[in-house]
Amino acid sequence: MKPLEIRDLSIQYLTYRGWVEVVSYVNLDISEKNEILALVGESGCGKTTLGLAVAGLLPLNARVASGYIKIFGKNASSNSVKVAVIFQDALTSLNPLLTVGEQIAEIYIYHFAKSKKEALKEAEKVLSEVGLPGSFINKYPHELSGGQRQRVLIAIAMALKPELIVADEPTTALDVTTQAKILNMLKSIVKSQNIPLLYITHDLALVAHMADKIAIMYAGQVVEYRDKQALFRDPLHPYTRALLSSLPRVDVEISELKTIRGEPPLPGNFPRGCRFNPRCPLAFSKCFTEEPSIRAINSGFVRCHLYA
Amino acid sequence: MSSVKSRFFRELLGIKRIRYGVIILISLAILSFFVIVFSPFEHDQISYNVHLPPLSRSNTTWPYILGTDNLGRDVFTRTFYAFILDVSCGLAIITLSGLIGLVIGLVSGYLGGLVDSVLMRIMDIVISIPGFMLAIAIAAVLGSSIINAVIAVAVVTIPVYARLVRGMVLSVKESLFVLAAREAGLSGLRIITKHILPHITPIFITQATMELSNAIIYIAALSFIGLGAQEPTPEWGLMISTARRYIREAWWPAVFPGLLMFLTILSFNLIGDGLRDYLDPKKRLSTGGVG
Amino acid sequence: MAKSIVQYVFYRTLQSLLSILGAIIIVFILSRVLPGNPAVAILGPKATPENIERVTREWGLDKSYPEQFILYISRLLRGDLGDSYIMGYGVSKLIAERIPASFELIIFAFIISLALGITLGALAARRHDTKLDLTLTSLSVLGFSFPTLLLGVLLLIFFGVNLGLPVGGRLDPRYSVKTYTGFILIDTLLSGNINAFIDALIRIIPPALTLAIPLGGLLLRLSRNSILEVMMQDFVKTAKMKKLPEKVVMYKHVIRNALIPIITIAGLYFAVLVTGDIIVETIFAWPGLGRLVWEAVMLRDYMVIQGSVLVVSIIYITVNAIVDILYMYIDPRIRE
Repeated sequence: MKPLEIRDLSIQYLTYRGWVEVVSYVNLDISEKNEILALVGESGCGKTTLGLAVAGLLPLNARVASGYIKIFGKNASSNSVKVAVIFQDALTSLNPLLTVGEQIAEIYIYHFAKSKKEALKEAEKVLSEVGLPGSFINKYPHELSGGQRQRVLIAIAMALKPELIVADEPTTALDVTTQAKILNMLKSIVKSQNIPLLYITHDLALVAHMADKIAIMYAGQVVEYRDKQALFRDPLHPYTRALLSSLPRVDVEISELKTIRGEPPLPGNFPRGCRFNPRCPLAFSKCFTEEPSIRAINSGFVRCHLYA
Repeated sequence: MSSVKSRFFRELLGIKRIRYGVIILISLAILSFFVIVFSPFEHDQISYNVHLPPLSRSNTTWPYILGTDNLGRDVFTRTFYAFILDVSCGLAIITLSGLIGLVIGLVSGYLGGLVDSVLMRIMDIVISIPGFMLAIAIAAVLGSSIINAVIAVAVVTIPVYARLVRGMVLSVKESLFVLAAREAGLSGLRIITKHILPHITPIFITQATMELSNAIIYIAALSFIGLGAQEPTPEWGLMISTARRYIREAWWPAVFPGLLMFLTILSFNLIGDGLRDYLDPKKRLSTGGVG
Repeated sequence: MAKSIVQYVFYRTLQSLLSILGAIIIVFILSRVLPGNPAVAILGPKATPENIERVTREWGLDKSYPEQFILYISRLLRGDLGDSYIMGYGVSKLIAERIPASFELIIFAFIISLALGITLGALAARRHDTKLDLTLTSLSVLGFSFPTLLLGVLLLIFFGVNLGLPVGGRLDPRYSVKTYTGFILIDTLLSGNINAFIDALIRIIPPALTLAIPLGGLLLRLSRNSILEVMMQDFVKTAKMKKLPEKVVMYKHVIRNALIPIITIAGLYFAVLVTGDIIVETIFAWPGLGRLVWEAVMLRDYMVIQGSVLVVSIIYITVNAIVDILYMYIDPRIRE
């Protein structure tokens, strides 16, 4: 059984204009237990919603309109599945009224039937595994630095003994050095404990270090899904190419940073045909009338008429 | 069931609320003037028709629409005279305390330093006594009349405005356009009137509207316990107080003034609430969380 | 962390004492600002020359104001609020006798409004944006807008006239009950007198409802909004992610955080409760501090009025300080 299997997944949100589709017919897999799948896209492309859906945390004004998400064969929203989420803003993701220790210990109390004392001991242990002193169990979230809080979230994730971890831009609010530490920590947990990771970010550069597989998301759809090396060596989708070329590079002289002109479309306002057509430098007539379907390539797939 | 929907509706509701409030208020006002001009009864006209139930016949063109009280006076006429009186008192109170509070807040906020400390200390001391009790103490000392009651309530509410205005002045004081004006050499007074006041006015007016309901409640309450309006003045609190003693014989002289008071307060609350929502709809809940 | 709590309690207590001093100053100023001779005003109908001389000596009315103030404070510190010549008792004794009645009423009303307001508010939050929610919210606005004068009268009529139940006073004078706690509801139970208990219960409900309905309406709306706002916070997602039982998520995470603004507002509401209490006690002839104020106003008894204002202020300042300290205890972020 695959750790993660997403088939034809569509998610809609209720707005005052009615149900609006935010994620459209997404197909994604994680095949190995120690695999890191990176989900990359600009803000508004639906990646956070997808991440929430995988964790079974969709808000009440959202619904799964089609398809399914299975984690080790079990439905993602069922209570028997344990998916840990590491959110972007660690400050608001922790209860301000409880100590760090209490927030970790609850997992041991309710999932592993430990007493409060034992649970706190376990909390100390898991804190040290993320490089924080055991005395932190008595600290409150607002007393910690951003990086420390993020590590608490990771500790919570580990304490849960999850079947899958979803990390949604966990390092965006941190400085570069801390960023690197957190990323390395995450990677080592995945590889050493064999827990798959769905890593959501907008930063393609970060992903080069972390990921095994990469899925590029645009306007609610996955437009390219490849092995990391394959993607970087030979990006297929025009959007992927544009993303890569906009990365600053220290080894080559560039006169100016390339950006992709235009803005990604908002849900409810998707253009006819391929959703990337207003900004695609290689768009041709078919792109404006017909939505491209998925074309399997070795090591993945791509959604573009250029390869149909 | 979406929060985007509810935010959208709350803005609309803000305007709706103002509309309903104004409608109720204007209807009551028109009714009052109508009563004053056309009612065949004087507000203090005693008669032998004591405690007649509502819609009883009288020997004039109108029936006793809401009945008569313990002195045979027409409740309907008195209730609407009281509307004029109570609302006027309320307006007087918010004008008085609003203006004084505004000045104190402006001076305190703009000048800062010792002046600010002293003024705010005084405001703090006034606030440390619950408003109604302080009003009672002041009104007791000044003497039982409706004017003294107005003064008492006004004094008690000054700190509300003073603090509000001072807070807003402080937050605006360091912003760029004020600093620029100061660089340009504008006098303090000019800066206050042309730059600070326009920012403050909307919130100030909203607060004053809501305080208007409070003012009316206070005046009625003071009169109810004997410290405000005196007989035979038609004032809601006083009417209820007198009627309470005979409540088992006649409930209408106690209930109808209260009902009118309720409607009036409701309308001012609606207007104030609506103004608040209308002026600052962002304050309301939530995002829809798309993406 | 413990150190800063102690520090804060100390600092807050100091602040309260200063506020109390301020209140004393104001009451003192007001008492000397009376038109005419303060002694005459204090004595009222008993203003004979000998009495005037006695009062003048007692309060140092012929001395300078600072001296008078010192005299005033020194008597206060001994718990002496002066004597009411009009009512014929010491003011402190009068007030002390009436306080239990007011306390019982207010606490009873508070409990009702908390229970109703918070549970219904939580219900409205759980079923938000449904018809039930709309109904509850509208009801709460209605309840909150009802002026006490109208509500009290309506309840008086409903319970007293329509239902024919006994209203007014705390207990039928035919019952006599030993005073254990000063709270008649408890004392009647302790004496084993069930009939007296029921009578007392019937009499306390209408005035308590009059006080509880506006507060309950406010608490309903407040809890609903607070709970909804908290439920949208990220840490609730984290709690859900941990797949904790729903009750734990609700109580440990949502409600504890939602309580914070509720406690703040409930504490601030005390001043409104004071206003309402005086009116309610007058309407229902409830023999508490509020009614004492009304009697004192009728009799022009300045000593009692001042004494009551002072006592109520001190209680008010103390309640505020307790709420602040409670707030600090609940929310660790404030402790910095």
